[in-house]
Amino acid sequence: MNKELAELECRSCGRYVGLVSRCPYCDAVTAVAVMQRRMKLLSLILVVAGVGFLYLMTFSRDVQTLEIGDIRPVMNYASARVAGRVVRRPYISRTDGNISYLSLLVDDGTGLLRVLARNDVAFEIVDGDNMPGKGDSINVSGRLSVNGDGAPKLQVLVAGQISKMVEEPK
Amino acid sequence: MLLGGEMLDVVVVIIFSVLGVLLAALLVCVPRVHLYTLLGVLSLATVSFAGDERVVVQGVTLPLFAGLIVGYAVFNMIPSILLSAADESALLAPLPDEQSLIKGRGYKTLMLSALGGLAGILILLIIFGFPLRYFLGFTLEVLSTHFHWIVWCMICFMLMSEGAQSGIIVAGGWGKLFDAWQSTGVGLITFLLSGFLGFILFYAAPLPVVSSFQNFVPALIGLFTVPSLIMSRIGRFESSVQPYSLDSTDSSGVLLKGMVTGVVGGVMLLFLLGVAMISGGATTVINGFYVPFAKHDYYMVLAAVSIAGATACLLLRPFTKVIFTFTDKSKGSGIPVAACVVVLVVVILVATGGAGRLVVLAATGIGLLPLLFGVRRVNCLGVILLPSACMMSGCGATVAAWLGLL
Repeated sequence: MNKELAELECRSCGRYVGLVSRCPYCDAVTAVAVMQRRMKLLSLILVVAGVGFLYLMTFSRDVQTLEIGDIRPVMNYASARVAGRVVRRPYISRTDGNISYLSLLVDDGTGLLRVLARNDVAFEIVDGDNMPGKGDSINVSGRLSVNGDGAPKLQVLVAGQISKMVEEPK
Repeated sequence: MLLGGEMLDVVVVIIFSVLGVLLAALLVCVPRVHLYTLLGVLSLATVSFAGDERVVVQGVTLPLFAGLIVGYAVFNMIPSILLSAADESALLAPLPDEQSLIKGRGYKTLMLSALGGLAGILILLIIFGFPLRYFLGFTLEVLSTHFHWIVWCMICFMLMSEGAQSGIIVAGGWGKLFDAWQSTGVGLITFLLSGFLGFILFYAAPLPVVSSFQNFVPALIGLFTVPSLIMSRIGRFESSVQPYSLDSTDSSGVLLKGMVTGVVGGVMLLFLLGVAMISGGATTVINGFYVPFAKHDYYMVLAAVSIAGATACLLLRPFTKVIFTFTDKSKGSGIPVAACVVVLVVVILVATGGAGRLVVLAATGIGLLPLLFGVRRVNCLGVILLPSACMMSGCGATVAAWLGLL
């Protein structure tokens, strides 16, 4: 008998059942169902593995360090790192006694970048040991926001993304 | 009376609005390619060629994008109504347009939908073009503190409504439990995997920094476009013959009902997600190189939307005829799929590089799960919904830090 036709018959009662997963006469699982089940399971495993490897790739990758002068509009939403010096006294905005945001102006010699931290993140930075002051060299990463107004901003998402650099004695 | 320069501006706006509509008409001929993919490429072109030239962005890109969006909304009805089969989730309960298609009333449904679209544009102009728009800002302010729980409720509803679908009655025990949880479980896995992918793309996208403004394009291509393409090659669908004529049945009641439902749904979308009004959709693509400047821009976009709406509705009937002819001649050929593959490859190569292709691959795997297991594809929207909901609840960065992404 044709092999393809045989696969469309119930393996238990031998009746023609077509492409169904369970025989309507004897309720046995068909050959099609077994194959489908394996394919589904395999696809599920492959998908989880694929996303897992993508995660590992992202996890093991360093955030790219950019020069402020190179930042362009197409870099909007990019995760980036910048190293530079704080050129003005940090501005801390408070609403009802709570810190709503912290703003730093950073210069790396190629341009100026506004670095922002909001709410709890700003509080953690201000309250922690890493709070930079005017003239400090910092290394900061976060999400870039390059709007059409031309002034790029870097938003710090967790307090650990900002750190003071220790300058070597001259 | 308009001065010379202003007159020229008006002409440019009209030309590019109409051009956008024509471009959208071409785009809908390429199956499964979404408009935002093209917007991403056009944005890249704008930045490369125009740079900071505000005149170009303001006078050319905005009306072109408005024309594209309106044109796509109108013309996309043609393939979605006439050339689409009900997916697995709708086999037992076809949607009204699918029922019409089965009964051979596809063309009439198309025209009704177009009329509804035109009415929608008219209502949009009434809302945004007159003082009524001041109430929108107030409503947004009131609702802004509630967005997070609304989105979580939406996610819960989406996942809980994924019930058992096999319809096979099995004896109690593990088999029954497995059967009951199969659809819900796969829906949940699809949602969580796509949500995880969304977190990766939101917080530590592996794409080159110069492609960051369209981080989500490869994921959306992988989740929705490529699986549809694969399935359309595996399972061919023959639609019934659709007469190119309208019957005489009065449909004003249907039209009114559809219009009211559409307007209520559309206005709700403006508020509910919190991203739609301020930073969603096409604004996400263009805000890297454009910030609205004054009321001039606002009214210019409204004008472009009106012109594009009128053009699209005028072109709908002849364009439908062209599509009818085209699909008859290309039936069974691989032309649309080949065109689609070329567009996808170009988009991925030009815009996102090797990492973009990896994201497309991973996302394709997730996008195929609903099709293989017979659950709804809407679960793939976890790629946007899960990170957005976490961010709105104020825990997005914390979760990303737990995952080691920050």
